[in-house]
Amino acid sequence: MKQNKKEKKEKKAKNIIIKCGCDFLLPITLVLGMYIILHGHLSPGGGFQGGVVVSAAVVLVFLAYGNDGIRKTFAPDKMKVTENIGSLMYTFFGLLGILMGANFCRNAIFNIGNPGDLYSSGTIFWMNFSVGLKVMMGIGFMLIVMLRVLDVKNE
Amino acid sequence: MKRFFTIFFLAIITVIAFYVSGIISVSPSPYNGVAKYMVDYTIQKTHALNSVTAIVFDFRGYDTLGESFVLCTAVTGVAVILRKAVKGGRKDETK
Repeated sequence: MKQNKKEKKEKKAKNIIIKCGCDFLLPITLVLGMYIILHGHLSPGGGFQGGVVVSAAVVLVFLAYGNDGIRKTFAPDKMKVTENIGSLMYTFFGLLGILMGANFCRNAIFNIGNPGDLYSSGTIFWMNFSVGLKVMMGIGFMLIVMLRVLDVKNE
Repeated sequence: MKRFFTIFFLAIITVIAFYVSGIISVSPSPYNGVAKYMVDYTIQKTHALNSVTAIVFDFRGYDTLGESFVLCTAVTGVAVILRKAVKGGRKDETK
């Protein structure tokens, strides 16, 4: 009995450490990922890299709260829809070149703002944003489905 | 017979590979082509300071379109192979 109690206490202490660490790291990860996506045309990084950094939030929530926490926090059906919206946005900004009278994927509105501003470089900014949305939702959905396998096999 | 055909076609492919790599190493450098154009005109043509992003999303936007649809295919494959897990999650939600 005594040993059992001791083990339970140790387990609880470990859980508290992991939970506090994940709660501390979660907002920093989200803000850093959004920063990388939005500053893709000014500093190193871009849509793909920032999206993967944001989707690490799924792993952090899983480490701290397990599969029940994921079920309470994320909505995988909406994530699938949002991923498709991201790819449609990319296609639209590619077609914008044709609508403005040039070829496909031409940057037709590139002279909005000065080089170095946050909102500059026309469709590059918007394409970065749509690819970031798509990657963060796609990788997040894949991680959620793969982590659920751990629960299904144990039953 | 099968073995003969295998060796025969492998020999032909090897000869072609050596021939093409020899031609590439002898021919003049392509530095003055489209690579130099991309490096010189990045800021003038796209107003983006990060030239890697400018190349990926502007000069090679069509390539990135296909690259992002590859991810869509990967997500579809994972959802089909692990559909037991997807269904199990949904069952727990309805309970």
